Amino acid sequence: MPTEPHLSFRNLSVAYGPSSVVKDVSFTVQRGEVAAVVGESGSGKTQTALAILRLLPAQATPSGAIVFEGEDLLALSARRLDAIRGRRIAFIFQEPMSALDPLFSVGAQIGAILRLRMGLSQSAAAKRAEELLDLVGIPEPARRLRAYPHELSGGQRQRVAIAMAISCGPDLLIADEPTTALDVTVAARILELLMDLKRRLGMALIFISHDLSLVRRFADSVQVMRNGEIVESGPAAEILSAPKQEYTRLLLAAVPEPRQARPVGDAPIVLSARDISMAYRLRGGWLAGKLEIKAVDGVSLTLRKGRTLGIAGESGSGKSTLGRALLKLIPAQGAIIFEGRNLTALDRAEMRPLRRFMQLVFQDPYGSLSPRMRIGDVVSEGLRVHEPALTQEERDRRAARALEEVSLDPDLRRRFPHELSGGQRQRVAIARAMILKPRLVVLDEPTSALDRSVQIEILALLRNLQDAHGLAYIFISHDLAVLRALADEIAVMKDGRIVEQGEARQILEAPRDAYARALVAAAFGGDEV
Amino acid sequence: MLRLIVARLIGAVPTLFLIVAAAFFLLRLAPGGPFDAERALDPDVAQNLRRIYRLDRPLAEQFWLYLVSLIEGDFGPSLHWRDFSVNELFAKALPVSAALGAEALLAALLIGVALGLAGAGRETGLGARLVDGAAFFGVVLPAFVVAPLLQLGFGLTLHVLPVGGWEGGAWRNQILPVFTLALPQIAIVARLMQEGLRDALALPHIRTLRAFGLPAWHIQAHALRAAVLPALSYLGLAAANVLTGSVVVETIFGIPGMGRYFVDGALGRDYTLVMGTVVIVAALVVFFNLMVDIGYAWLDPRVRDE
Repeated sequence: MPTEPHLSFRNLSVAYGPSSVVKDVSFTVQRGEVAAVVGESGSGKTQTALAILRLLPAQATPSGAIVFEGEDLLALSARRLDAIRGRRIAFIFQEPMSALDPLFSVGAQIGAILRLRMGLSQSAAAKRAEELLDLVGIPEPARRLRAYPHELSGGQRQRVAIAMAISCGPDLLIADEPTTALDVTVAARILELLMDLKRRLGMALIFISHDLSLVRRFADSVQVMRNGEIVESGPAAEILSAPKQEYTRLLLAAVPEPRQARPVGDAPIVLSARDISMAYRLRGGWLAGKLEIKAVDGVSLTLRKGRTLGIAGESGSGKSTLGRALLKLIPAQGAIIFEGRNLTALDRAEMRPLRRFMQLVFQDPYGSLSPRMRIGDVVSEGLRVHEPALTQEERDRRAARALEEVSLDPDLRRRFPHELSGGQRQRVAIARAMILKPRLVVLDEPTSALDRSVQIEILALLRNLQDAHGLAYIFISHDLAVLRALADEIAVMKDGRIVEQGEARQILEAPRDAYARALVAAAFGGDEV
Repeated sequence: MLRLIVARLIGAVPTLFLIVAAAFFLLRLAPGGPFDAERALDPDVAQNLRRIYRLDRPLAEQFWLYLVSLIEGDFGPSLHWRDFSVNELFAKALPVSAALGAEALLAALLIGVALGLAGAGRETGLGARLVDGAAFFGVVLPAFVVAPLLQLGFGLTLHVLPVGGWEGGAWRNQILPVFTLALPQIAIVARLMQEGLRDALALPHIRTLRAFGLPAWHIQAHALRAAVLPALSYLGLAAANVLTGSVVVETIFGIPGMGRYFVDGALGRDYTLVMGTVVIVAALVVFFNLMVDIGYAWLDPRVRDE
């Protein structure tokens, strides 16, 4: 066995001006091993990875050393570094959407690397590119070479990125959250592919992730990062079975508690929907035929006071469209009955007085709050419409109370959204809904943009608010682990239809439908439910 | 691709129709008429003139007659230069204006892109500062300031270039008007290229190329293709700006192009002449926008598939 490590970080720090985002990081990666670097957003894990090939933005200044086979990568000449980039060390980025050039075909992009880095001829490169696509499991590789990135699915794009990364036979592969942007079932297959390639090609792998429970399945060693520092490191088996640090334990336990089953009772029905359908017409122009995409296709559901209906599904399953259709924010077919009143025939003006009782919380706490409004005005804006008689002082008092209710300091009302963290912003978004005393809240992936530890807090908040006010929730999420923390019932959606619907426990423990089974297996790895 | 071109061409028909209709009726709303003069014409003469030029028919019928002759490629007789048809006037003037406009656009493209690339380096670098400064002056200085200054400097002081006239398109006569016309466009194209290239170099997929150790020229080529798109979409607008700008420039330099017909025709209520220039300008703008669309689709596969 070689005694010298393959790659070693020696007191790596990365500074942006006076503030350091990576502080004094030291660890080693052995030949052929999988080293996982785990941490929540802002922990410095991606900055650490980018520093290896000196891909940091120009305003960042790295210090310390990253030694690869006896040479310090940070001190290497640009020429020597370019010789290592791609050939010896290759990188897979998180976003398969933006990591590939949208203006060039997949074949041209892989081919360029093969020609310019491996010295292959045009025809040899084309042939090799086809083999690579085949190797990463893309069907019809010859045809796919001519495809442009936007013509591929997210999973296929990530496969192309992997094909590019392995094209020069590197010894070390750095994968920065390679599956985070993908649906769970797709992510599971990409991970399988990576591990398979690693075994077959004998590469070492540095795997960057926010998800310790994902990493436990294949990592040899683990580095846990927080605020730019490594807080715990060592062999994966040790860290995962006996974590020494509180923070590591938190990351490991960071799967939200499932909600206890609650009796249905005879609470009044808040919302019932029959046969909801919604079709988008793709604009095909006058020469192309009409093409309709059924985003939602014949969905029926019932929701009682104080209960949560979880809607599970991957991207494109129609779950968000359904959520908006139920609130009549987009036109759909079918009957919607809210608190005994049929909404189907109501027009915009007739809907307006009902709107305050039906609120919506969005996924993106960055995009859903106007950056030019103070938090107090954001929270109380709905009152201007629904209770126009209120005075400015009374609105402000209510905003303060609403912020207290979501466990935020009422003084935040004078601040702007950009001064708040993601978790705080999502609390503001919830306060904005709650101030109107709604009876039904549609939560569209309210925790998906947040770190696990923050997710758990938001879920607890939502649960408390529900108990205190008897709210009915429609909780839309792709993440079954999050869903089971809040949902009494779950409906699994695929291609606009509900493929399975029932008590949460039953769906999670004994799904009958094949797709629901695959979703559950991908979410919980089959080893815990 | 072919489908896109055909679709855009067919889409242009209603656009042109609306422009022609709007111009036709707006023109008739303006007070006065083509035969008004200091001294009123004899009523019978006026009546005859109106009958000859079919201005006595109902407006809707006149519009219909105009459309029919337009489809036949006939812009009708000029109401002011009564010995000429609009077609005859344009046959002389259009090539002059077309040469002027095309050269100005070409200059804007070549010089603008070159300047933009030169200025795309570090924001505090000399190249970037120079481009910033030049672009600023290019945009704020109007043609009626630039042109006399150039005439003074190169014509009257240095005696190297003529101050005006066309001389059948002699190259010495073209330099100053083309430069005056192109200047604001050069400045805008340079800025667009400069910013486009800077933005493109920061794109994630450019970082991917660097991560693979690909040579700098290859990375530049990828960035350039992304950077050209915003400049390209401006070219449609640039063509329109050059067309309107040429009215001023042709007047200042005394060039026998289309510009004067625009002004004289409108002042003299020469209905057919004004309509002719409107149709020509509208068709050119539609044509340039089509070219931009095709270029865009050629460069960007995402547009191609829409």
